Amino acid sequence: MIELENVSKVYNADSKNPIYALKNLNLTIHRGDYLSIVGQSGSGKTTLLSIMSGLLKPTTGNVKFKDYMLYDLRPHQLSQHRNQEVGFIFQNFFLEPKFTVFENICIPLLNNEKYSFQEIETKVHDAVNSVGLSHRINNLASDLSGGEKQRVAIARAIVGKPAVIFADEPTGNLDSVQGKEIMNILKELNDAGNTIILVTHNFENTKSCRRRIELKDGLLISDETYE
Amino acid sequence: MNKRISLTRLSIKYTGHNVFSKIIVIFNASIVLGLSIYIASIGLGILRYQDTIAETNRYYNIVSLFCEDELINDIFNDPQSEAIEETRILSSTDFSLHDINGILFDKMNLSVDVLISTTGLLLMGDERESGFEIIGSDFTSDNQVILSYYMASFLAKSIESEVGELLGLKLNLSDGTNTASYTIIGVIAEETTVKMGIFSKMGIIINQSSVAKGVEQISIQSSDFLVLEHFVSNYVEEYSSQISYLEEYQTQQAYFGGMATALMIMSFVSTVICSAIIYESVNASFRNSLPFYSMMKIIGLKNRKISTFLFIETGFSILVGFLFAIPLSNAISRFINSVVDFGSIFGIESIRILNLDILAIISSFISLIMIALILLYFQIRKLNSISITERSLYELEFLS
Repeated sequence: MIELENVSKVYNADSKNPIYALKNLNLTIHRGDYLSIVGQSGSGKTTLLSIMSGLLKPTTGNVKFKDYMLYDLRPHQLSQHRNQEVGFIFQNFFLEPKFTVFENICIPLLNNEKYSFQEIETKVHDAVNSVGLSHRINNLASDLSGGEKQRVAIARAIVGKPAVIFADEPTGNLDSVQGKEIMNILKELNDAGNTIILVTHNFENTKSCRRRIELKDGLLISDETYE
Repeated sequence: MNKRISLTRLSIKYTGHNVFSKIIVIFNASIVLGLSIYIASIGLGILRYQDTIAETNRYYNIVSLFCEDELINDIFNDPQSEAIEETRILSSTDFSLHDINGILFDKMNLSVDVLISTTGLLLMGDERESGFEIIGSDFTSDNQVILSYYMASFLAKSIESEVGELLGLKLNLSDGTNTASYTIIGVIAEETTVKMGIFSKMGIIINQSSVAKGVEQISIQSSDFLVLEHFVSNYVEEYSSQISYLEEYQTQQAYFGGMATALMIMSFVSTVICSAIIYESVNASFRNSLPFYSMMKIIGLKNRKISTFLFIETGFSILVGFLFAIPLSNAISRFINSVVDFGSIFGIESIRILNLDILAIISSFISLIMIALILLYFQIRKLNSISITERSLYELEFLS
């Protein structure tokens, strides 16, 4: 589904002190994978996530998504790619506190005129049901607990039924109980066929993953698959 | 309840949040805008009523020409005479200009315009019946002088006296060589001074039957200023002391025009200041919304869609600002009118000038719309320039 071929990323390439965030990285991610990316701070995992999700163009190398080269797309096509093929889950949720749960979740769908109100409503309800928050659908995001907020963020990420979900430290702001709930939801989503790529510091979280890669100084130092 | 969900509705809800803090900023902008509308209203009022102001200040559209007898018919036959609203030969008998221009009165020495009446009377019977008035008496013999009202006022003030108390006093006139003494026997009433089209506001008339005849005074009234200029310049310019009236009128009009222009500029500057306040408000709001906009960009919303939020935000600020500004400008108008005596400045009942002008309100609104479009242009440029990569990286790195 995603193929990275000799991908490198250099920050400040023209300066005296360029930063080599990723070095000739090759990686293939298959449909249905549940991949965790681990590594120390500065190891390049965020850069890798950004490159794979269509947020950051690599300095060299190719990124193939399904059957097209990701960074050959024009900017509006790349936006469309992120809107329809990718879901994002952030550590600090990025919900709009003034909006209700329903409103926060439906935002990605409003980009596309093809959805009727009924379709939007159905999709939002499906998404919110899958994270177990249907009873909170008309509450303001600001009224939710941390765990509930992250579940709303997950619902927003999956509402458009993307091909891949990128989760960056989704439990970073949660206590252990809420974190476990979130990881269970991600596991359920993966079991349902969703491809998930998770960036985490927490090795406990990687236990539910099918595959784990570790980065160090921009190099892929391990790639393990679990059953 | 969610059936009508749309980005526009979300934008309205988003903008509505923190509406009170926004309104405080917008209220400040509205005060400036209200001031702008008020100032513009005064400027427009002056332009609209400057003729009325001039008229009230006795700058009538009348010129008084002194011309040779034979020119009178030419004046009546002039093609532009059709534009004359009223022509009146003030005196059916002769007047003559005199070159005496020195006056000596109570140790004062100044130059004045002197007109010599050769008829023995200043006011004819018709004029008396029309309400023309002389304070004191008309000529009864030579060596008498009648003063225009303004000259009398000036002289009376200089000796700390009243106009009426000048009657009987002596006035010495000199042509540089000879000096003669004249008795003040009358003062032309203020209204009459103007209506007669007296050759000079500060003029005097002496009675001297021995002077050669052959010059008449004709008064022409027209609301078309160019017509008046035409007659003055084509017929009797060198004799028309009344040209000073024209000049005064022109000066007054130029003064009002300049004042109106200055007010319009002040109004424009106020509108710009108001825009700057609204710009800063919208800008601050944009900065606060940056994470939200960035998130929407990351999840792939088109810039055009995100711009809905900017449209609603800016539109709200402009609309609320404008709606506040109208009653505020009215309040400012009432307050300033209560503490400043505009009647004494403009010389008329100033209420018409000081009312809010619908044109000022409309032009302010149009200005705001223009400013809103410029604001939006810059906001959308900013939105387009948000680097979601750097932004997301910053946030992701910061959090990890």
